[in-house]
Amino acid sequence: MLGSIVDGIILGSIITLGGLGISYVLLIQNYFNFTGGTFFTLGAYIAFAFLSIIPMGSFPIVSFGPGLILSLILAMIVLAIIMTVVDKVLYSPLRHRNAPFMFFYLTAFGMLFVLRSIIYLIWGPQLKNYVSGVRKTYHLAGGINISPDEIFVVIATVIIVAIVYYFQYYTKLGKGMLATANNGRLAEISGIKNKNVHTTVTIIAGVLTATAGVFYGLAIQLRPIMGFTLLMAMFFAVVCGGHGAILGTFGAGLIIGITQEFGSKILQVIFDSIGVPIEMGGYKQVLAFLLLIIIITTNTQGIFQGTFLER
Amino acid sequence: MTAYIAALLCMGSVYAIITLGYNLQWGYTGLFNLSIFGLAAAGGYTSVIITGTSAAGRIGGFGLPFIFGLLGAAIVAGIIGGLIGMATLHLEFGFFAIATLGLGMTIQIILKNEQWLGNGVWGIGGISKPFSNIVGNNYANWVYGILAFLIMLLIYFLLERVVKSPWGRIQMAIKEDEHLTEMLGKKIFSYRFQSLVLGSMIIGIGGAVFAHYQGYINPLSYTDIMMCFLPLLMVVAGGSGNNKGSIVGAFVIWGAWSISELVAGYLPIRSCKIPHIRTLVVGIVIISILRWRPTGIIGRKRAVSSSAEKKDLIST
Repeated sequence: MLGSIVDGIILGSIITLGGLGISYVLLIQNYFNFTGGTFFTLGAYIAFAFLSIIPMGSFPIVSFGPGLILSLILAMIVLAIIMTVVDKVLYSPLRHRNAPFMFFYLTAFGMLFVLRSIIYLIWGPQLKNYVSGVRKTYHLAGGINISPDEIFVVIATVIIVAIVYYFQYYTKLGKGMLATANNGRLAEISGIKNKNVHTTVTIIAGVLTATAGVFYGLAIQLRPIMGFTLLMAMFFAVVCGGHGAILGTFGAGLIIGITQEFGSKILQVIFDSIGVPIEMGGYKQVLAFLLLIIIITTNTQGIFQGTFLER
Repeated sequence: MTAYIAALLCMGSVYAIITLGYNLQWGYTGLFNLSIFGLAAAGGYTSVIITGTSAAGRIGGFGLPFIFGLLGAAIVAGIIGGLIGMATLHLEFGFFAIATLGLGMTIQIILKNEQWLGNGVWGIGGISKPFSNIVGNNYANWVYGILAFLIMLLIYFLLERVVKSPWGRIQMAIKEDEHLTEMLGKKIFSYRFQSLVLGSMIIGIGGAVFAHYQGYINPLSYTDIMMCFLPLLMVVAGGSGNNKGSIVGAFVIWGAWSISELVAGYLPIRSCKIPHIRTLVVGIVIISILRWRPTGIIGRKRAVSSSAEKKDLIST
């Protein structure tokens, strides 16, 4: 039981990073990026491709080496470039001619399938791992099994969230982004270049999405539709956290991660005791979907209004 | 060759029915529904359970005639569409889109996991085509193709009547200018809801017709690529808000899709990669249409609010 809470925190960290990528796009460009989940997968696979060239090396304690960190940074750069190009070629003209929202969604939906088929064509449907072999695992009291890699993922997520938070609220560019999100025309008058803001947002989203993908590959494994299966959870983190609120997205990400892992276990126990024959293991995505429906019917602004997680 | 034409007639009609239903939601009312694959799967499974023979370990075996299967499919798909509409239709556009996408995924997961419903991932086999025991197996596809085509025509004429009526004109007005329509005193939510439910029912019927043609269905018969992405392309290509265009789009694109399978056999590509190449091509086509030809290949003039505003082509 305690072990699944820890699993939930790990999954929640990954969801937070992916959700922040979607959240940034939503904040500035005002559409839910369906492609976010697939960019997530693409980032992980790009790092995998770099890792086949770069030697892994080794770190103490954790099972990966400096090669993975280098691949992660390269994947961030490549994914940021890909997302910027997509934004410039496909979305920028739509913004220019003030196209209806439908166009953004349809383009994002089309991109989802384009990227997915590219992933299938290059890497095939097999499961892949960054690190082969059995991983070191600590067995703690209360049935907690945790590997050093997973601890690394959680700590790195906290650090990244802190960096993004600092950037968003304490630097000029970050404040400029908030101003653009609030009132684009007014921000333009006061000297913020909207174009630069859009590019920055896309780059940040690319970096965060690639990190999330690599972390998922590190903590769990690489699958071609791993991002698509997490998409509902990411949308929940975005909506429930409040659009663009960084700490709120982190909180909501942890909520959905723990619900998926720990909540499904609890529900399994309840269903078993009252005799409903449902295998909850397959329904983690559905849990995320149900929570999403609940949150968008009750409170579309997120649940953290008026708390310190509002930002 | 004749077998291919019969298959084209069947599958083209299936896609034409689904595309007509989707065109009502998207082309006329402007609802970006992404749960087509879920609704079609719900319709298909309902029809198979109602008309099929009984089997151990799952519900079914009512053995009712084909027409009851279609009715059941329409009702179940309509109820599912109505539920999601009640939850999310009064919200802004994006929430509806993500909620419907999640609904489609949810239906697929339920069908995969619940053995008692449709035997899980193993699916249901031995689905009979109507009239196949009378005309024999040689002509079963032909008869079924003609039947599917007639069902499609019936739905087409019904929809033409519906969209030409005042009700349909209000739907178009909602898509073209939501606030103007609201000022006229029309309840937008209720009109959108009706359009969503009617479209979902038609999509359910399409899924049922598909199930009886295939003879074997499992959750993967209704993937998001085949049952959500292709109808989307058919509507975009045929010009949204154009029923004839939807039918033409469905037949032309299904023809191209199925012929590409024959052509791909001569190319030096491993056969496991062909579906992904087709998806890639379709995706690029959809994005290109949106980028460079946003009114669709045929397009439609503003029908209702043309005198109220500038007379440009309405966008997809």
